[in-house]
Formats: sequence, structure tokens, C-alpha cells
Amino acid sequence: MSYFGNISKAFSTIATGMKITFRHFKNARKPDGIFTTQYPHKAVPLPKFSRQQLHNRIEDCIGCMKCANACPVSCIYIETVKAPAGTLSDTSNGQKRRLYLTRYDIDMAKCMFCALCTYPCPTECITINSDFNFIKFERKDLLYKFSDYSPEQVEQIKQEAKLREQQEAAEKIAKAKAAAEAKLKAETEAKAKAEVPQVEAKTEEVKAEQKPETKE
Amino acid sequence: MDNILVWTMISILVMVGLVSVVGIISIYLERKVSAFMQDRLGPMEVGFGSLANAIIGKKTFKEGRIGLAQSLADGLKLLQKEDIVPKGADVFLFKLAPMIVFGGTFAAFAALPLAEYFVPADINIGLFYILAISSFGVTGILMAGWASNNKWGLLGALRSTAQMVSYEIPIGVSLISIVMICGTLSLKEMVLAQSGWFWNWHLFGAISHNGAIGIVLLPVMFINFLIYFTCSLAETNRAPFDIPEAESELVAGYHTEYTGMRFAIFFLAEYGAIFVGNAIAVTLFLGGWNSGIPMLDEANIPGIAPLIFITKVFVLIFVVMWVRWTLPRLRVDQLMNLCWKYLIPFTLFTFFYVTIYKVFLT
Amino acid sequence: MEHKIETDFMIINMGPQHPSTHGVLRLELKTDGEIVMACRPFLGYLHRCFEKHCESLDYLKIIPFTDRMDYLASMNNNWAFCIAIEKLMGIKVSEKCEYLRVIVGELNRIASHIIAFGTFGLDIGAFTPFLLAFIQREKIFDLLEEASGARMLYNYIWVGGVARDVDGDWLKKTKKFCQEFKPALDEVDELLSLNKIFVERTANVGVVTKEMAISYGFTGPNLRGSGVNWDLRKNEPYSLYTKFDFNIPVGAGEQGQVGDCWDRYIIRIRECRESIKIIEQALEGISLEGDIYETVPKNFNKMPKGEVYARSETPRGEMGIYVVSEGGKAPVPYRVKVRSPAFCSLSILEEICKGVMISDVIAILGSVDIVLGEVDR
Repeated sequence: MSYFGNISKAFSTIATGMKITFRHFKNARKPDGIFTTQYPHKAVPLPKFSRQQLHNRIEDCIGCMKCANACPVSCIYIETVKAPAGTLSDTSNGQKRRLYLTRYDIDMAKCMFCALCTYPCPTECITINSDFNFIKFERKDLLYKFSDYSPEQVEQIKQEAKLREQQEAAEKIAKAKAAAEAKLKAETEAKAKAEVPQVEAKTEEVKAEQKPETKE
Repeated sequence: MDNILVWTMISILVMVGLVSVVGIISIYLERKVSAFMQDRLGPMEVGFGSLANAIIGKKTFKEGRIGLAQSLADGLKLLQKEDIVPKGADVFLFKLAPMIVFGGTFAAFAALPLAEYFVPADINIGLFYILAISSFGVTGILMAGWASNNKWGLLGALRSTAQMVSYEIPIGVSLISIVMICGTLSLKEMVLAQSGWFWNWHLFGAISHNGAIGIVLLPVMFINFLIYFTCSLAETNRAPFDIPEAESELVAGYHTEYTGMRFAIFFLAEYGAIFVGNAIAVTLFLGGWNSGIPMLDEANIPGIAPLIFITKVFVLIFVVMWVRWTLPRLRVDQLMNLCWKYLIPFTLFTFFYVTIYKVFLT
Repeated sequence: MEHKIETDFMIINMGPQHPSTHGVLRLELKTDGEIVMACRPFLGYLHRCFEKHCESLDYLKIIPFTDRMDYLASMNNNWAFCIAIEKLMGIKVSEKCEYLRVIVGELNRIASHIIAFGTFGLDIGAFTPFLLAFIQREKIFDLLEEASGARMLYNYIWVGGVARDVDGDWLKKTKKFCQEFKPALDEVDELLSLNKIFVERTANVGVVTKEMAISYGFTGPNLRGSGVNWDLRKNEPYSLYTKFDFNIPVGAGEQGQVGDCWDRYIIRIRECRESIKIIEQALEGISLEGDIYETVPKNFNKMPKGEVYARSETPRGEMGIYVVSEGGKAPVPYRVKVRSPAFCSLSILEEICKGVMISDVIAILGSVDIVLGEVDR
């Protein structure tokens, strides 16, 4: 490019650029001249489905672990204790709740906001909402605890469950004993019926053996 | 006689205030201008009221709405910062550098003619003094880059030195034309020569000196003004010639290692230098404190002359910012090309043109 | 007295905390004053074991991890991975989903190119075009957030479908955006592209010839900037790209030589225009009827044994995904390997950064448009 061509090109392109910037400068006073907003005073509304924070409606949660399994980074921690039938109310969409949720924690520090946990939930109790403002000063505060039991209650529930378990185990043992006795009885009866054709006796024996196993 | 003494005293005080105030106002302006050019809001939160509230810890004053006190608050913040001297730095030079840079700019303010009686140091070689003292700052920049023991800093300082030394030449030559027309180096007399209607300004030739024939200097004076303006951008390290502190290349150039108040001093000095550079342009080309309308000047409204002067300077400062937020940055070799291949030949041409005019037409 | 002056090269570390290395790249520059004698890139500061991670994750769970590779064009990463898995499983995705994928993919391509040329301008020193372009990027993010729920890491394109349905309102908004985007892009183009200083800084700098580009494995806008007409959307069409009418901009060396930084820059601006064309055509073609989850597999138990390599055109070039599957119950991939376009583009740095100035290194680095998340994975 020629010497003077360079100069004229420089002047013309610089003038075009400066015209554009000046247009923006002039338009800054117009209502849509400025794009940014003053955030804490005026926030841009987020769409309804914006993925910001996980929330669990604990009264609807059945503790099925599907969300915890779906999480790619394992940030959902669930511990459950079996509840006696009828003690817990049903969920809002009519599912039976059979487990005490002694722990339902979501570690938002670990969460990657993919919302994969919300899709498999059968009761739609784990949701991701658009509340983005959850600044915390301590990292441990980002561990959100959703379980509505206090530590004492959890302790109590666990003990009760333990007791129930022991009871059930005792019952089981008793049942097993009874079953064994029944079996013994059956065997003696079978022996007594030894004269009866053998095919019949064998089937009886099989049945007696199967009984205690199925109960466990 | 007494009257002049009093005015001189007042003007010295005004100048002392002006240096710091100019820096703060320019920084605020820069932030706002850049924001508006980029469809942003710029500083909005820290008004004088909110700043006072924050200092006294109570909500007594009305909160600001357009962030007027932002640069003041920034300055206060920088004051509280830790003063870090990097390991391996030359401590004495490291601490001396910002003072020299600031000192050079500050000293240049002394000779600026704000109004007829508002010249703190009315020396008869004012122009020469300002050119000499304001390029003194480059020593400080070189010191800063060398002393901070940082490779980016060193590169920035070397670039800056090369740039400033080269651009002194077109600046000097382009201003010599004016000196030739006026026949003086005193800034005050130069401004006095431009009084009256605005066509008396040197930007439009030498009408006030030689009558209508002076109009033949109009094109060369325009070129001179453009060259001076471009060079003053380079002298003050402003975009598109901000290669010594090119933030995307050299991190921050020569002040990479500076923190807190030392950094703030560099910053203030930069804006002070911009003011001085544009003040010379206003003084020499744009009629200084003259409004360009004789009726207004003769009305003798107190304080209007310095106001006109400062307004003119800030209009030019706005153009400087406007250029900065529009244009990309040149490369080092292109910067030198521009200076040696384009600016210097043109200034030499205008210089000869004015010489011929002076010898044969007057 | 005689002085013996010895000179030596200066070794400068550019990065990983340098403002214009686009992340955490470290360049070791051996300089002679301002001239760079040698430049060696060092990678790995953002290595997050993506490929190893995948070997312990369900196929659906890998998708949010692909977001984090090229975090400026997450949609296209999702898409590339899904194409691979769908190819392996033999899933035919419904037309509605394909249309949605094209729309969000091209929107994301524009957003990514905005970053590319915006930050390129920033590297050269022009601040305003960057922010003016970013306004448009914000608008794209608003649209994508409404569709997927996230602004950057979408997890939107799923194997066999997309994560969320859109409504007619969204399509209208997208249409409106397309209208608004064109003048805004023209403005940035006018402000920066032909600016004398910008042209001086970028033309004839970092020239990558056709042969060099092919031998270094350049893809995407970088390859097209070197004058090779190669775009997977045209040359090996996937999804619905056969349906749309669009051009492939190819660098012609308008301001300097073919394959210089300016060519690579202008290709991206022109590609934004083409993407807008595609989106407008897709918006006309899409119908809102149909279930987006129709072909989404409930689980991956039917995953066949085998391996697959699929490639697609992301904003940075050709992203190849290689997956080895072992099948079985609750399957995880045996091996995942990603062919990253940015990694290949980065490898040329050592060759073209010889004998240029420090400022040119910045320009070259900006023009090849790398994303360290993808380079290191």
C-alpha cells in the first residue's frame, strides 16, 4: 500500500471506529442505552427452571436413594432407618413411606448443578430452584441438612429401631425354632409313615426343608 | 504590584490543589466515559454521602447515586494497602521511582498559564521548561522497571524509554513552528497573542500576528496540532500507544510490582501528565484561557478564565479517552515506524513551511 | 580499557497467571529483547482426569462432565458425546430433538465465537468491541438458560434426546434475538475488523500455510482460515445439517497472506452470520409436537459391546469421541478418549512463534482460540 494510502486508510478507519463509540456514548442516556444493571438493587429475573439450588421436601421423600445414585459427584448423603408400618404419613402423590430419613444431606460445595438427581425421583420431592443467593462464610455451612429429626430424635429412632430389630430377631429365632420343631415333628411323622410309599414321603421332606428358608 | 503578588500566591495554591483534583476527576471521568461507550453504568455506588457514612460508620448522609466519590474511595483504599517491596528489588530505586515520576509531572504544573494572573511560575522559557521537566518522568519509569527485578517490568520500562525518546522529536519540532510565529517561549505571551476572536488561535494560522495572510498557515497548523496530539498520547503512554503498560502483553508493564500508595502515585502521575500534555495543546493551539469571543473575555467575570482553560483541557482529555476506548494497541516496531516514517517527516515539512512563511511572507 | 559486553537470551515465563494466556497455559519464551527466539507451551494446569473419570461413570452421568471440557461451548461437547453413544446404541433421535440440538448448538457456537474474537480484540488492545460483543453473548445465555436451566454448563443434550422441552415463547425470543444480533455483529465488525491498527497487528502475523495446518491437525475455523474448505457440517453431515442452506467461510488472505491471524479472526465473524442463517431456518422447520424423551433410554443395560468413534464440528474444530463399551448390567465405558481440537491448534505455537515479537505471540495465541479446559481435559 502506498505511503499516503496508508495514512488515509488509517484516518478513515479510525474515524469509523470513533463514530461508533461516540454513538454508544451518546445513547448511554437513553433507556436502553445501557445494558448492565445495578445488581443488588435491581436483579435480572431468572427463568423458572434455572438450576441454582437443590431442595428436598422432606415430608414427601421416601428415601429410595435414586437421587443419590444418579448424582455424578455423589454429593447426596442418605441414611434411613426402617419404620414400623403405619407410623409415617403418605406422600402427597400417594406413595407409602416406610423409612425414617435420619440423614438427608446435600453438599452444595460438591454439587455440579447438573440436576440429574431431580429426574429419577418418584415423588418429585427433590427439586432444583432458582434461588441463587446462598453465599456462606464457612464451607461446612454449604452442607444442607434436610432431615427434620434432631440428633436426639435420630438417636432415639435408631435405638427404637435397634430394639425392634432385636425383637424381630428374637421373634425370628422363635419362629425358626417353631419351624424346626415342626420340621422335626414332620420328620418323625414321616418316619412313622415309613410304610407309606416312598415317593409321597420325599415330597413331604422337601416341603419341610423349604419352610424355614423362605421365612428368613 | 501587590495585586499581582496576591494573585500569584493564590494561583500557586490552586495549582497544588489542581494536581490532586485533576487526577481524581480524570480517573472518575475515564471510568464513566469508558462505561458509557461500552453500554455499562460505571461507578454508581460510592457517592460522597456513602463515603462519609462508611467513614463515620453511621447512616447520616444521603447515599450517592452516580458514584462521584469512587476515585476518592479508591485512593483511601490504596492508602491502607500493604506496601510490598519485592524480594531482590533495589529498594532505594524502587521507592524513589514513583516520586520522580510524580515530581516530574507536578513540576510541570507550575508553569501552566491558567489565566493572565494565574501563572504560578511565569518564566520566560515556560514551554521549554515544561517539555524538559515532563520528560524527566521517563527516568522514574526506567528506574521502576529496573528496580522491581521483574522481567515484565524491565521490558515495559525499556519500551517506555524508547517510545518517549523517539516521540520527543516530533513534539519538539511541531511546537517550534508556534515558537517561530510568536517569537517567544513564554506561555503567557503566547496565550495573550491569541486573544480576541477564536480565529486568532494558532490552530487557524497566524492571523493575530500577521493579519489575513496568516490564514495560509491553517493546514500546517492543523497537521501540527494532530501530530502534537498524537505524540502527547505516546508521551503519556495512552492507548493506542500504551505498549509500556500493555496489560494483555506485559501484565502491567513497569508498575507490575507496585502496590498500594506507590501504585496510586504512578496512576495519579499518569493522569497529571495527560493534563499537562493537553494543557500545552490548549495553550499553544487553542487559545489558552481565551474563550474565543472577545465580549466574554472583556466582561471580566471573576474566575471565568481558568474555568475556560480547564474546560478546554478536559474536552481534549475526553478525546484522549475516546481514542483509548476505540483503538487497539500498536506493536513496538509499528510505533517506531509511525514516529520515524510518518510523524517526523510531516513535522519537518510543516517546520519548513512555517520557516518559508516567516521569511518571505512577513 | 576494553569492555567485553556479553549478551544472553532472556527466558520469560508467560503464564499461568498471565492475563492473556486464556486460562492456565504457560509459555516459556526465550527472547532476544522483544524478539521471541523460541516458545514452548506447557500444559496440564487444568488437567482433571476427564477420561479416567468416565471409566467409573454411567453414560448419562458423563454428560455433565463433558460440559467442563470446552466450557465455552458446552452444548457442542454434549452433542459430540451423545452422537457417539447414539451411534453405538443405534438410537435414531426424533426430528424435533434434532432441531432443538441444532438451534442450541448454533447459539452456543455464536457465543463461543464471540469470546474468540472478543478476547482476540482484547489481546490486541481494543476493549470496547469485546464488551459490545459480550452484550450479545449475555442474550444468548439468557436464551440457553431458559431452555436448559444453566448459563454455561448446560447438560442439555442427552443421549437420545434433550433434557427439557421448549415452548413457542422461547422460539419467538430466539427469532427476535436473531434479528437483533445481525446489526450488533455488523457494528463490532465495523469497529474492529478493518481498523488500520488492528489490521497492522494481525495481518501477515502467525501465518499458517495450508500444508502446515493439515499436518498439524488443525480443524474448525483455524483450518478454514488457512484456506482449506473443510467443515464437518458440510463434508460429513450429521444431525440435520443436510437440510440447511449455509456457506463455509474460507480464509482468502484479504489483508495479507492466507492463514494469518486476521483470516482466522474474520472467519469467526463470518461463521456467526452463517450460524444465524442456520438458526433462522431451523426455527422455521421445527414443530413443537412430539415427546423429547421418546428415544431417551431408561438405562444403559442394552448397551452393546463394542467401540465407536464419532466426530462433530464444535466451535473450535473437530471434536472426536472414542468410546469402548463392554456392555453388561449398569455399564460404564471401558475407555473414553477425546480428540480435542484446541490441543491440536495449540501444538503449532512452537513452530510459528519463532522470530516474532512478544506482542505477536499474544496475537497468535488469541487467534488460534484455545480453551484450556479442553486442551488439558
